[in-house]
Amino acid sequence: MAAAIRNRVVVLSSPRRLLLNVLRKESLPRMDCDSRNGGGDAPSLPEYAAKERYCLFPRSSHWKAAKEDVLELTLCPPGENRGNHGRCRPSNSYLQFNPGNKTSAAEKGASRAATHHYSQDIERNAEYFAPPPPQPNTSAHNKPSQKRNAAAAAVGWPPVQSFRKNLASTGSTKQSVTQNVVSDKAVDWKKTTGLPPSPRGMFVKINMEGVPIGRKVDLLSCESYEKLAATVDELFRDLRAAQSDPSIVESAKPITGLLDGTGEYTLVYEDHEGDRVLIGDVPWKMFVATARRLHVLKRTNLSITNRESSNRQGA
Amino acid sequence: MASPLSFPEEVLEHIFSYLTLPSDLNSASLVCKSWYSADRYSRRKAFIGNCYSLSPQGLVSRFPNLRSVEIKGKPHFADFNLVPEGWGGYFFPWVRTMSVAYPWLEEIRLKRMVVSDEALELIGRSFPNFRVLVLAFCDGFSTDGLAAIAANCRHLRELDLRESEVEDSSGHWISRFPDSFTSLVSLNISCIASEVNFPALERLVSRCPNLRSLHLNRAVPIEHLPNLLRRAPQLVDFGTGTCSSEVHPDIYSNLVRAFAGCRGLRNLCGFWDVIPAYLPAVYSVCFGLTTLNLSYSTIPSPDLANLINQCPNLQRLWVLDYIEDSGLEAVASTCKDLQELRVFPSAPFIPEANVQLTEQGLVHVSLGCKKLQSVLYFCRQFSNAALVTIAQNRPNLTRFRLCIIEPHTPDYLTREPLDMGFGAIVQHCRDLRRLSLSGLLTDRVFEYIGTYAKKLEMLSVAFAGHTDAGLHHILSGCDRLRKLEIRDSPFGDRALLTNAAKLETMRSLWMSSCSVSFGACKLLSRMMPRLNVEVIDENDDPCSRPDNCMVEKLYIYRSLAGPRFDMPGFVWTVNEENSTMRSSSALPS
Repeated sequence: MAAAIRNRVVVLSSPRRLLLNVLRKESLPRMDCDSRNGGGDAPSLPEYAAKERYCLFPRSSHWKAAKEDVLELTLCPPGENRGNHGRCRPSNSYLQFNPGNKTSAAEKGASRAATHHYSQDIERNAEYFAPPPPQPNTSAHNKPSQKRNAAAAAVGWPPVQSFRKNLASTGSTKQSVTQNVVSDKAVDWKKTTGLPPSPRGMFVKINMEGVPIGRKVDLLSCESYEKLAATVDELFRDLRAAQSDPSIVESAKPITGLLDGTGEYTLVYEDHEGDRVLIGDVPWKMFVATARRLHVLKRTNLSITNRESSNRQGA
Repeated sequence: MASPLSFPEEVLEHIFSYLTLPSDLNSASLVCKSWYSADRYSRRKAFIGNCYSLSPQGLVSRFPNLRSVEIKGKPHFADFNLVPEGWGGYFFPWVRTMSVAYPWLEEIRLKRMVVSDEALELIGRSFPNFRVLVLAFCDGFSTDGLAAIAANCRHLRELDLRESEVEDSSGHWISRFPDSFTSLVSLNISCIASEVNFPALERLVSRCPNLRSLHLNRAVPIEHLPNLLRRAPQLVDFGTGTCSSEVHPDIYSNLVRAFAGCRGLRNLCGFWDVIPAYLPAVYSVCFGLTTLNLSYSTIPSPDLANLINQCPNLQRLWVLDYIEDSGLEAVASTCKDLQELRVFPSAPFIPEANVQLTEQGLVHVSLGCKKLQSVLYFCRQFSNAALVTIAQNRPNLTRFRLCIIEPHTPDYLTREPLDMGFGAIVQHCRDLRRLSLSGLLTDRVFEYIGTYAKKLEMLSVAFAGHTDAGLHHILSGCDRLRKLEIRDSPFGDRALLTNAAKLETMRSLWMSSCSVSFGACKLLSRMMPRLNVEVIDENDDPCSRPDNCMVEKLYIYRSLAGPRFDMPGFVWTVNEENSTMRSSSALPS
């Protein structure tokens, strides 16, 4: 049983060579518009090659290193004559380039057509760009020219590390030409937590007693205490079972009774002052605003924990 | 005349000790058996870019006499919450093996690893000659572990916790450095949230005459700075704490005198919550500054510009976008030696711009700073024309990371994709090693990258491309590619499987929210036994869905150690029976 748990990968040399031969024959792409839910049992490589999710597939010439004009870079701003390559332009010319520069009507039309072409492509493929349904965090993409708040909901975007995130709220008001465009929601949040609103979720750490690995849970996506308890069960059920006996992972017991005091464990949170408080007493929104960290503790150890935390604060 | 082959091993080892680059040593070890052996016993440093690429036992048997080890754990996107907690990157198995095999270990440098207090205690107990501990972007330990290091490492020179997450149990760990301890050269505690016992810190600073680098944490108020600096006028690198208290004339004049006494100061950082009125206190050292990190300071542009105008020798500048285009113009005219510029966003999550920072700022800097090599720039609009200009101005760029905050943002002048602009970057900047893309991009940009970016080693892609052709261009064209990370881009099975062999030449590939099917992952795993293909799915069991369903996150890396044994429940890999199983055994300590 233990041996089955360990994952061993066997070197399969001959199927690999077969596969490489198949790949060589498959050097030209095929224009297939199979639906993405083709179904069927384990397909071989040619079938994978055939399953194209996008009808917009490049012409075969695009696969080869382009020697044709597609790759010739024009080293001048768009709107100028693209035929002159290698012309040495003064490097500060951009600084005199005004957005209101007059380009010829034909070029304007061409660039508009190009934009139109791209927006069409994106619209046509918008549904394919969105990842599959199980993911709650990503969004479908609309026309790129519109300002979207939905796209800002992508997890981890923009790529700013967490210790850089909360600076603007603690600094002095910015004196600039374009004043702060901070929404009302942001102002309310500042009053309660001192942190800017985080549309992509509020992740807090959660640790369970007896499990060395901590997790993170998004409080904004759980709209109620019940949902939070269900999430905790999902996160820790297998980890806890694995702690006791790795071989019974498949039939792990669910973690119940977190909120009403009937289960083996109970939920506790730490607020911004470091005090540990039992969950459930305050309205959900207030809880989300003040909770900094969560703990899942054994009910029997609760009184001991309270003593420890008060000792720590006294030290 | 003795032939080289009959040199005694000690002579060979001595000669090899003059080779510093690992690539040179690797080449030497391939010459013949005796050179292999000489290198093997004389190698003192090891760099492991992916902690799962080999086992600790593998390292120890290959190089039995290491003194310095550098290991990296989680993928880069872990910094942005894309790697779930509990994924892995545990240091304890390494230190457990090394504590037995390397009793003379001196240096440990870790990045993005999970380090437990027990691991830190084991370091303190096992390595009597231990000198350098750098924990960058690590987590999993508390101040108790730091106390163990302080108490036991008698010859510690460097303790650097840059940007790690430390659980604070108490600020008293600093007092665990014994009174006889005087060897400290570098101390960086900027990531520690709670107050550290300040008198103990002052005493420590006083008795360490070789202290060169000191980064305080935010909790140290500015009133304490003058006394501290007076005890360490030899500092080269200094990070302040918070500077937010009201400006008192006494404190201010003390500060001025204290900074004036630090003649050798070259790097300054910190400045949390700084009130602009404090800034002139550092003017006396500005002329000598080569590094200035103001990325925690929400100072408005005019004050920033005034400060930067005092720093003509700046080589590295990190700053928030409050600097605005006008401030960057000042940088371009003053800092002629600038090599690295990083502009971070002050309010990345609000929909509209709160500062006047556009592409113009970067264009100015690219024009004025001829030595500029490394750029990280967050802004909200860009144009192909600006990118072309930057590329023409600065063909010596080696790192170019542009983040346009809104995904799919086109050229704001022409509404076209930014393909041509980034194409110009890779065509002109022939030595480009690192590139991050953003904005509206089609497959075209990847054609350019595959054709021109021959020295590219790391590429980050987000919300870009249309079809598999994009990924195919990268994998088939970029010869030196080591790390590729992609998110939210429609790249799928075909490009991945066609270029499977390329993946063994790279350190790792990360793909999340792309279009790779589970079946393709299984197939790739069977084709390439020396790759670990890990599927991360927190919501569901991918085995329960049909094979052509897309995977949420995929992490592929080459490994000599085979699939790892410390995977949590949400990571799947392939076993020999061609069905996948998660492995949740052997939870690490």
